[in-house]
Amino acid sequence: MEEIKLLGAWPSPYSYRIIWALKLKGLNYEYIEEDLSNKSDMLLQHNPVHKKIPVLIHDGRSIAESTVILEYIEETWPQNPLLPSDSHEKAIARFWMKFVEDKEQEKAVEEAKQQLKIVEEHGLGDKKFFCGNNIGLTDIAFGWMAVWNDVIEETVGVKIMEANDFPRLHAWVKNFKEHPVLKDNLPDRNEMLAYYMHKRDILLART
Amino acid sequence: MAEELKLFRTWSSPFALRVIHALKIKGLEYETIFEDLSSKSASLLQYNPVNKKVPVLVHNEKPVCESLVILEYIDETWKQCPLLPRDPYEKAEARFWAKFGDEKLLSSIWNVLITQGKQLEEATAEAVQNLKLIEEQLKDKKFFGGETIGYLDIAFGWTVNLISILEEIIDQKLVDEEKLPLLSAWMQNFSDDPVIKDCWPPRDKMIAKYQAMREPYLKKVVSQ
Repeated sequence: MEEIKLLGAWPSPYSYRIIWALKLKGLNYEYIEEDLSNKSDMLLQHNPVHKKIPVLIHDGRSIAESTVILEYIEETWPQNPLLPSDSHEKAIARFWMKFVEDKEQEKAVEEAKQQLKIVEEHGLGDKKFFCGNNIGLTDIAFGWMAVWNDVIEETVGVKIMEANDFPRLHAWVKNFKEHPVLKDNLPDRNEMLAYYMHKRDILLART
Repeated sequence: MAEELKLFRTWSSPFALRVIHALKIKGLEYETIFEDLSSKSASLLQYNPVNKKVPVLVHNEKPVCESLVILEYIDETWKQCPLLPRDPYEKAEARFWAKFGDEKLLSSIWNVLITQGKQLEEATAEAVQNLKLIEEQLKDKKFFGGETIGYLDIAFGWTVNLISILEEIIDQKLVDEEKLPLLSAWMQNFSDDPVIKDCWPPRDKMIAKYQAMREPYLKKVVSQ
């Protein structure tokens, strides 16, 4: 009997990537919430190098780094494939997964808008999801954009991803949130807003 | 249909070396197109419009970008001399350490290049710590891939060349044979491999290039 455990933290988009992948594969798992201000021995034991979540523990063996975990899940449980079978299309999917890892740190508004334009035109194009009609690992990697982005925008009071400027991305966000499996596995928006507002207050109080 | 492989790269890019090593191990013929990054060719911009970077591998007119993504593509497309392990868990471990190399190790080695004095001591200590973690993955194997060169050896291959260049520039050992015996041996084995050893970029040009990259950081400290 397979044993799958996920060490995660509820506000983390990286944590949710794994939840979404496991749910899309129809897998049962035990979720363990980590308090990142007081990391458990289990986390330190299973990810001694980075001491971060998410960590997947499958039959006692641990895998860290969300994109590495996503690929592991895809290879270990081939049902409901989340990557294209064609090697070139797979390479494109992986390229965009790397792109979103590198670009998450964009702070300046103009740069962020430029990056979004690139994603909309070159990544998404006319497709429903990044790799076609079905949701895949690339969509999961971009998931923060579907769920966290507008909460962050509301928290800081700056709108970057306007519907008029990014119609395809907005359509993708809607399709992502309405996906039959994902829609019941999204963090609560009010709780997220409260969480990020609180974080912001702390930061502002310090300056 | 005849396979057509083109590799867009610069003369010095460590990430391009990864692709070259993989193609050579697989015994694949390819055409090299050298890019001048200050004046990118129309072809490069056409094949990689998103981030306009090298290396780009173009296979029968289909471009693949990002060196580690290219490695996986090569391994999946040409099955001879497999680079990645078969087992998903071992594959995950290889990918994890390749990512570690590109993030933690690369930035710590960069810090060694651009610092001096006390900061250099700290940067060196951190780089050596990261190298120690990587050395532990060798265990008792000749290569990270086992008896033969694999994905992780290729992913780390840039360290073999760049570290020796750095050591000459800063006149200090980073990979000490006593402190990092297994890694030292691995570097030698990797360099001596008949497929790898003719691929290194010209050493004197590399030293000049990295010396030039270091200069502005040294000047900045002196002027403060």
